[in-house]
Amino acid sequence: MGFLGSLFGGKKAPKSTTNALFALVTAQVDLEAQHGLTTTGKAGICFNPMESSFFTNLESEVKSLLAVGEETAGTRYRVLDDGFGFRWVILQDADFEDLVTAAYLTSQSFEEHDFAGRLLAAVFPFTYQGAEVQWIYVFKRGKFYPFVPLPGRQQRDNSTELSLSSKVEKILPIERELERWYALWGAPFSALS
Amino acid sequence: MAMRRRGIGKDRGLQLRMYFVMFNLALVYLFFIGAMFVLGVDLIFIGVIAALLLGVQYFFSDKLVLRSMGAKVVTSEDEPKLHAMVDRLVAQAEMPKPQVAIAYTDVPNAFATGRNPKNAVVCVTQGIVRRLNDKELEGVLAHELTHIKNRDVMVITMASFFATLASMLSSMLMWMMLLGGLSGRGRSSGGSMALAFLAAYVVSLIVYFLATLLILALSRYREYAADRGGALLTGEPSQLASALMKITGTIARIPSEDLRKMGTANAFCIVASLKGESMAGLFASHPPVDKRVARLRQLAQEMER
Repeated sequence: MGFLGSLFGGKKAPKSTTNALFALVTAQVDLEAQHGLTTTGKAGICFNPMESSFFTNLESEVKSLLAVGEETAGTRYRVLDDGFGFRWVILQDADFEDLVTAAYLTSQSFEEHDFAGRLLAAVFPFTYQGAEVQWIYVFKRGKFYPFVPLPGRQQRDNSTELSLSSKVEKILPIERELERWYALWGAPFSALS
Repeated sequence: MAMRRRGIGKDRGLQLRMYFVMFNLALVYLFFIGAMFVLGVDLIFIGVIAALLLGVQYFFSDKLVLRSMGAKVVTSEDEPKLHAMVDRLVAQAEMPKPQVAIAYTDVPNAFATGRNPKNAVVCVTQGIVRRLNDKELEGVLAHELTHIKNRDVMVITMASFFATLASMLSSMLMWMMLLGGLSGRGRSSGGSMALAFLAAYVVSLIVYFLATLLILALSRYREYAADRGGALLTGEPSQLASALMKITGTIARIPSEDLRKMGTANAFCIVASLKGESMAGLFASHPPVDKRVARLRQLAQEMER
């Protein structure tokens, strides 16, 4: 929205930051066909829970949420805590578009309950040349960045991350400030197999 | 061309430039002392204070720097791999082993300090250990050990003695002129004295400025020398070059901290990028990385022959 648009209370609604999630669906086609990144069929949404019934009932909330849509009806899910005091909704769906839709719906329900501020990131793990590559979407920034954890100690492959991000920067909103490419160690994707 | 045979030991050009800078620094300092003598400013008292100040800094340089960086000395039980690397390098360089310390920050950096090789410490940050592979880390350690071997702390401390003195004198004179001007005594009793004060003030400012520029130049040459010495120690200039590119290039900006540790609010503030900027200020005493890398490449070619 331009300056004039905002002056006159522009008619276009401001983009919700969750909308950018769908850019990954387009990007995934490219990532797989041209760069050999294959989806693991999993996604994780990481958030900071509060003492509220929304969070205690989240499991059933997600269940009913996914049951509504035709394409997300087959999506598997788990809700679990990690060692950082954060909670995860892990989703699994072989169809990547359905998977992103499920992630989108989940984050939407946070927004509807006014808990969008508790959302930290959505994580999409891929396989790339036998290694794990994660695309991390930080809700507050509305941007993606790659995260390539190396096996063993907490080390990451920065050069692969940089080359991957330059490959998709045209189709995916990439976080430009490298200082914000924080790691996200040990996302509990193994909870679903 | 055959006349310009040079071994892989010293870099003659670098040595010459270093002497040239030191010579100019001596000239500036002689001018300073002469001017103060002519203007009737007694340098003895302030000289003693400056000497004490720098003396303390010099004598406790290892502890002071460790404290300010929040670094901790580690034993070989704590960090066996790091110690083993240092052991190998000091054995090869025939120098006493310095203490080994780690600074718990993700900013990739390393430094060495201490008044002499026997009382030295080499420190690496957690950030540099995480980002570099073993070979690259070894290159960085060799660079820092060369700083110790070259006694760079002593060289720079000595070079900055009169610069410190000049800066102290200028601020002292400024206060004297301000207070003297306020009390209004200066006008009647000694107009010529006030003028001498002003002249001394201007001279010490100029001396401080010139000396700082020369010291920075000297410090950059010491960096080149440490790059060269370090690369010759490991025999692998390319490893140090790749380490330099990793810790100052784009990769250095990517944090290895966990997003969740940043907290939901902190992850979006600007502390991380501010950190990077203050480091850039520190690097002002260092030559640009591309030049250092170019020289290391040149050294690698020399070694090919």
